[in-house]
Amino acid sequence: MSTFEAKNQASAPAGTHATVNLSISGQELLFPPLPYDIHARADAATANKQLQDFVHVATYRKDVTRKQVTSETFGPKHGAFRDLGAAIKQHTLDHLDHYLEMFVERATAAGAKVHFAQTADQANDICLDVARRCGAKLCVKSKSMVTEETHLLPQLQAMGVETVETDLGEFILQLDHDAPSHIVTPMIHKDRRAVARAFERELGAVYTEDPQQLTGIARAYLREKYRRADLGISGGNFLVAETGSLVICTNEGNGRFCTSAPKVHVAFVGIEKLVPSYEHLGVMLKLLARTSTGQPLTVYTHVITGPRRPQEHDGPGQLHIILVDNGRTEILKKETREMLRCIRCGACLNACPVYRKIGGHAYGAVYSGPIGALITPLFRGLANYPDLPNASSLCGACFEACPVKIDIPRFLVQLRSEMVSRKITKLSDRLFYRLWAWSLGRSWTYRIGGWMQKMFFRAKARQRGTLAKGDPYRSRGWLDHLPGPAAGWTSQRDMPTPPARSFRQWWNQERSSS
Amino acid sequence: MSGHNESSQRATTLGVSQETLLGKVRQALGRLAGQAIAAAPKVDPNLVRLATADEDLVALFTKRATETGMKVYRVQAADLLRQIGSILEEAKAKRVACAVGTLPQAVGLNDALRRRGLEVVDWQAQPGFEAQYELDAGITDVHAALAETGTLICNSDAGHSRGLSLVPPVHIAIVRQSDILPDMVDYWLRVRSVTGKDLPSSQALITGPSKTADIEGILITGVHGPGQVHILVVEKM
Amino acid sequence: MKVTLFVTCLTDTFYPRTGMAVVKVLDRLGCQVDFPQEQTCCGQPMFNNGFTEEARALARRMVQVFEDSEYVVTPSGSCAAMIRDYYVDLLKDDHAYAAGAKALAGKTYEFYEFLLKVMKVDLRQLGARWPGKVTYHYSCHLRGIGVTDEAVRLMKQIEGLDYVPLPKAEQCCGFGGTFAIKYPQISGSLVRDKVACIKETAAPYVVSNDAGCTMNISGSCHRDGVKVKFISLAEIIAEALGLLETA
Ligand code: SF4
Repeated sequence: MSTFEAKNQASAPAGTHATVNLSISGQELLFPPLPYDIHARADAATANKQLQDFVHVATYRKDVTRKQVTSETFGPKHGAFRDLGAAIKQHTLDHLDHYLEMFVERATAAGAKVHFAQTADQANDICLDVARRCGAKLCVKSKSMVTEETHLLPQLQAMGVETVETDLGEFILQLDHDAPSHIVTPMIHKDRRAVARAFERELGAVYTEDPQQLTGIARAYLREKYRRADLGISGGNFLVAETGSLVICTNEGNGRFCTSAPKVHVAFVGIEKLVPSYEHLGVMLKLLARTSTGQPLTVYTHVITGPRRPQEHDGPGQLHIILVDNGRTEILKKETREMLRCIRCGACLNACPVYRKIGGHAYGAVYSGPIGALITPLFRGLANYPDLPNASSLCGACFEACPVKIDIPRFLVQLRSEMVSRKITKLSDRLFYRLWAWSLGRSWTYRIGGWMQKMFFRAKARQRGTLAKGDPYRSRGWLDHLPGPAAGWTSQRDMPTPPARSFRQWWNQERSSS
Repeated sequence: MSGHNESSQRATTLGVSQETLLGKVRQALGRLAGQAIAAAPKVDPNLVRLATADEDLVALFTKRATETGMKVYRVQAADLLRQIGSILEEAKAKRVACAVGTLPQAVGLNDALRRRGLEVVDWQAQPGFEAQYELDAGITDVHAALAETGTLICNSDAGHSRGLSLVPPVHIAIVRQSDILPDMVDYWLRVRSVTGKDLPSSQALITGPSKTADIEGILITGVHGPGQVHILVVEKM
Repeated sequence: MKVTLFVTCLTDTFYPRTGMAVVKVLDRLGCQVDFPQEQTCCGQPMFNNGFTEEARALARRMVQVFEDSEYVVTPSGSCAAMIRDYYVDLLKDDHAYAAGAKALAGKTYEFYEFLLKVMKVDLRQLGARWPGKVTYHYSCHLRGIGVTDEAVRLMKQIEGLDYVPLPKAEQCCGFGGTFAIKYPQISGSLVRDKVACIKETAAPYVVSNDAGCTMNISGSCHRDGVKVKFISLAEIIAEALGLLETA
């Protein structure tokens, strides 16, 4: 670490701007030791009042806004819009080779250099090579999930290129050695005091908790970086095959700075980001912002086609687009292809009751929330993330929110099924469910099972003296402790016992003769 | 920098070839190279269009742009210079620059601003981004505006830099009534047949002042880009 | 009209009075209700936990049991969703059962949906009266089958019933079957949210039509000493029509 600091300091112009220690320790949050068990972080999150106050409240509010705005804007057309959005992405994925080829040809014709990376390392190497060739010392970077995936930053820093995140949230996270916890609002888990402390400690700023002033401090600091940066790195929200364009949606304007101020621009884009034409792009843009933040469009929708033209005044002289696979061609298989429709709007995170409770870091990966629970196990191994497909009540809120209609609950079940067939599911669980299924497979075993359950529960309740007398179809008792794995239930809430008689008993007594 | 030569030799072997990646993709899809594709989903303008030419486009544009936090003024051509002057005065702007387009020149903007005692920077004298950092305001016309979303479209070309609508803290945009298209669909239809080098390297669809809600969800404007966007809709030109 | 009741395993054992209420209301509407004794469970627990083969076997069984039924009505939204959303897909490659699965999906209704869509009931005309203030828990599985405000519409047809909407109604109560046991902290935190919202309404009754949700939410109320009563809408309707004694 100390060598990076030395290099960073060396590259700072004397007497001007302080260069800070841009550590990447927070990244461990996204790359935990594997296999990853969700419980420790999830449980800590549910007990963390601040996280509940921020994440829960903010996501709930965003979800309400989304519903309001989409119903006001699209009205009765909303369903058809989502169908069209889904169809556009699905069609593009179904013929991805065709559209990739077209994109490469058009982007190249417009003067961009397109690179191809199958792995994270390859993608990083391409970028490092570009950095080396242009003699980069300072890199400004706008938000990109793919570079989080490839873990680019530490590598750039290691080769002596000071790299600064410029999205305000990401910048703060970088300063505070923290990691993003939401794909759209990365520092949703932090409050202003954390920002104030980080700015005071790392930038030597005067302590203030005023968000306007804090933003001003970041603005001034980052402006200097833009002025001196010789390399800009971005992600990309869409690639347009027909025109070879790269589309970046941001609100702050940092995306435009990073792709316009430095002389070289490198974009990391997943191969699933293609759409056929501007017309199709229009549909996706209409869905994206309104679903994501409730805005009509993000403040800046920047459509970049090739590097600066000779007659143009500013803009980078070189545009490198790195098309990244990094596991996507695996997901592209028929059974899981639909997941790649995702446009990273974040609506499923905001709608998800589990995300609201545990926040993004609990997922232990770059992508969190419902979509993260699907793609993380596919990117990084199902056996490495056994909890992600399971830590869901399958309530379906994500599916309802998704602008491209990814049936997330169905896929979660599909992954669970794969866990069973690959024996990743614990042996005890496999035995238990199979025995249960067997007992449900014939009515006499079912009846005996139900009777035993009733007798067991009621006997326990009687022991505890909670068994109420009265209506045999209604009065019940309560248990505050259950044995074995069922203790999970009673660790949180009581368990009602069945009443004395079942529906079947009533039917057989009152009705079966008639 | 000792690795410079070495790395240029290595360059071709970085990553994989286009064919390798496409091969992986085709394998996952079960497709053959050059295999025909199904028709792309049709984008029915009647479905997708959320505003039509029948509407009062100026009113709709004004409403939506205002909702995003931009300020919209409807002005007569004769009143344009005065209005720009008072915006600049209120913003305490001293150094400004104007895009080179049909509009600013038609109304003699540069001279008029100089007469008001403002420093009008010749940003074209020095190509690149740098000259634009010291500006207090950038004044541009637009390539189009969208009523449905309240959007300005500012494209790069010889007379329009990327930076004028981005770098200075104040952006003033002059929009002719005839620039306003009902919906984004109409803009994409307009540029439909243009591809590759014939497109501008940068098309910026601007819908609001630069904003963030990263700190506790509190909306702050002027993060990196302009905190103020003033739009002058010129009724007749 | 012949109606076959699929009472579901949880309702059978834990909430028999709901099943009784359904039968009595259907009787009152002139339906001929039958109850095949062979029925057990729709297989949802197996399906949801990835035991696809086991779920498939139970789905086949269900198709058989209800083969001759005209309408299958169930008081549980989540079991209706299981049959309607997943059976067709589960059995699509099974030649002997594919058609049966489709048929079953097409004739299965959640009870409240059945009352409105098929029976087109108007409880007002039947003189339904039930004095009391209630709030209503919207169970998540209704999303899947496109049931939205059916229960609320029915409640509004009952004279004297004072319905108070539940804040944050669309947030899951945290049941999710095995989820509640394997991820107790998350589930517990969610159900306490739900209870807090219920308390906010100050309604003494919670209408809950899904047995799983009811076990979860009532269990949390019981643990925290929150004195509200849980009742299914079927029970309320039966009481409102004088078919069940008011407790
Ligand atoms: S899965 Fe759907 S809702 Fe979730 S981020 Fe992707 S597009 Fe948005």
